[in-house]
Amino acid sequence: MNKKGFTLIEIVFAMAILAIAVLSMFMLNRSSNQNAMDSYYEFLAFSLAREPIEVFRGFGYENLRMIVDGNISPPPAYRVNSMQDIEFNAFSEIQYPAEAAMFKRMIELKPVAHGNLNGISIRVTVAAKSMSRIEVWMRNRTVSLESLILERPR
Amino acid sequence: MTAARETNGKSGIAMFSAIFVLLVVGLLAVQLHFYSRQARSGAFRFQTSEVARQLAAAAMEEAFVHVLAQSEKSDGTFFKKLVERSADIDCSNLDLSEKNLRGAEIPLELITAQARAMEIGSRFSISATARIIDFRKVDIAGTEYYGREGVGTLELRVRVEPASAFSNMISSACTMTRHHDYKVVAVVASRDNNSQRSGYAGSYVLDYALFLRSGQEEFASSNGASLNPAQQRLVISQGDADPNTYGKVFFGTKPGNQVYLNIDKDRMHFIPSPHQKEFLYEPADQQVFRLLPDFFAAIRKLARPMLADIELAYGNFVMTNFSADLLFERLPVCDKDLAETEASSGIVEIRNALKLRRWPSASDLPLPAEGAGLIIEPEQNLHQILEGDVRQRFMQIASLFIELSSARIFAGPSTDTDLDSRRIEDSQLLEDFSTRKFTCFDSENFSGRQPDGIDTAYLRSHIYRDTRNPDLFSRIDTSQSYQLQTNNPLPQPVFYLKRWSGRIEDPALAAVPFAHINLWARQRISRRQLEEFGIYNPRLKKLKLRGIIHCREPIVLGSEGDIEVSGCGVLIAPGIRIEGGIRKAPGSETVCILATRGQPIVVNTESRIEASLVSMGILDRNGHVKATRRLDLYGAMAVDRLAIDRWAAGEEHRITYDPALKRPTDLYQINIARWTTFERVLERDE
Repeated sequence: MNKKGFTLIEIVFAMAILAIAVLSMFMLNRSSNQNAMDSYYEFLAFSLAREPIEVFRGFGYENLRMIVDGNISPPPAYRVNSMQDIEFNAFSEIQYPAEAAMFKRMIELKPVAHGNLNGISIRVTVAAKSMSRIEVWMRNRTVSLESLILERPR
Repeated sequence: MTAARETNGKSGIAMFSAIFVLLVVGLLAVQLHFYSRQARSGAFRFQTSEVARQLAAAAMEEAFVHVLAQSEKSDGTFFKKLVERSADIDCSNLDLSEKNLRGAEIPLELITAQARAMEIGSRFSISATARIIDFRKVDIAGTEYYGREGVGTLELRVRVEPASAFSNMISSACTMTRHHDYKVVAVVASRDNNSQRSGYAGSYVLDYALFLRSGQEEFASSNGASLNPAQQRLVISQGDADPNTYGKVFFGTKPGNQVYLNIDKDRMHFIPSPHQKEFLYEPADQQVFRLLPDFFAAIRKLARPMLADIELAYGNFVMTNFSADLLFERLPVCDKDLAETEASSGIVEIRNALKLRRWPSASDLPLPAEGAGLIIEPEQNLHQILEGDVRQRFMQIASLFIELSSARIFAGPSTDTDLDSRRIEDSQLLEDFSTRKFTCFDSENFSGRQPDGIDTAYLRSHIYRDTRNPDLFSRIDTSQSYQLQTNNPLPQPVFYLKRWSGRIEDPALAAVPFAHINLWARQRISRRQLEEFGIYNPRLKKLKLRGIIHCREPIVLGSEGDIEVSGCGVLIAPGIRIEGGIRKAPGSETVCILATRGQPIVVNTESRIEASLVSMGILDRNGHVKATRRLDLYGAMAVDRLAIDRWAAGEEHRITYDPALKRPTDLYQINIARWTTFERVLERDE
């Protein structure tokens, strides 16, 4: 009779506390994973957005102007004004991480002017492909980066 | 009892173990969460840093474009700051620690507008400054450049920082610094027409409407024909009524040497009178006999059979009823004038005799034609235009005319009363000598005699001795300054070497124009690059100059038609051919100089060329312009040799000096290199 056990209430109470603790840790863990993955993919997305800006800056204003005017075509990997999938190809000249294939990218070129200054505004938007796991992890589905490439007086 | 305690103790351990596990798991979860937040924060910072860097890169590009554009406007504030190196922008003389204290703000309209439209970009403020951090006024050999010329380094600095309202939220910032070399060159250097230069300026030849560096040598080797062409006519005129903007004319005179320009019939008003025959001296009968030994010999021959008893010597003949006069006149020397008016009087032969210093013979080679093809306008301002020693050249002829139609010649002394028995009569002889012109030459400058002409030795030893009148002798006069009085000497030009500062008077030693190669904006570019860099576009027929541009290949301008030139600068090439007209663009200050380093400039068009042509060599001094058709140049011409005999014959060529080349202030151009010599990107993420 002196042997005392746990009452049902005690067990339920204990299990409730344990459940709350485990659940909290689970939520915390999930949030942490979300942040970490979001950071990683956002970093990757910004890198993919920066790439065409650097490439087009190398082209210079005159070539970009011809692309805008439709006189010449940009390289296949940098089509403008249309959403383009980024493809992972182990044999291509430009190597991307495998996760880059889960992104798509749009490059927009727009002429701008101020007085005698002429330029091309370049805006690159990188978005996660639908039904990819990046959609799950990235809070912002798209990232965008802009810059300006100006005509130099000769 | 004991068993129950043991059971209770075990249950206590299990609980503590569970709590411990939970704590460990909890700590790991918190740590993971901490790291993930850090990653999240890092990603945000990466994002803001990336945006800041892109904004900085674009702002730097806009700042450079702005600086390039502003440095082209010679009347703009930024241009003046750069040229004058004003205190608010010039850090070249400051200590290293103070070099960031000054700088001119550069407006960034485009990137500011774009940043405002961006989500993250709108949280940044963007600014740009420019400053001079270095400026060299001497070249590598220590030779000082002219005026404000020099080579410097321009620093552009762009700062992208979070706006004050977002400074707590965003800690990213980016500072981008770039260095560009730049050059300041004087395309036109100021010159006061009333004084000489005080130092070397690369564009010094633009002071002159016509500058012949080796003109003296060319003149001497061609016996003056180079400046007195008979087949070509070159008019050098001024485009402005203000004498202060007149372009000088220099024919390459060396100290102590002179050049001359023939005076033709159209400019006889510059030759002192008499232009018609004027009395000089009246010789007596005995002097006539002495002056004309052939005449006297003919008389003596007639007298010999008739009068065997007297000595047939001077003094034993008397002539009465005659007239003899020494007359003199001043005439042009040009073939065209002599051929028109004096062909029958043998004046061309007399001129040639004066040139040869003996009477010409049939075996002589034909002498070069004498012309007066160079016309300098306006005539009344030549003392403000000419430099060096330029003389005018005309003929002064003294001749003996004798009228013998009624002459009576007697043999024997004049005291003899029976003269009639001693009269010598030969109407043919008297008529023959009456119609002839006996030219007086100076025995010291003339060998031999004109056939049947005057005894030059007697002329000098007796008549000149008595009269002391130098006009007794015919000569080609070059004693007077060109179209000026003798006592009004022309200014002697002063030149400078590039590497040594001493002034020199021999233009052959003077530095070639634009000799400081390190002030050239572009060197050794190809014809194709001329197009690529937007300097010359044959399709658009446009030439755009800025500073000194050197092309390594010969170039042809205007083959597609007349071209329009804009900007201020020099185009140097190893040979230039101009096939079409060159017009200045309206509404802007334009100075176009086309130069070679001694290779010819060929002008094959009659259209107006609004440019200056410079063809001067470094080692070989044979630079020249060749006008294969009528030349109409509005600018200046500077060459080693005129070589006008190669120009189109029978045409009137014209050089009209452009007053824009004669300025009270220097005309500078700034060339900022596209190349970046130094770049630093400082990203801050605190």
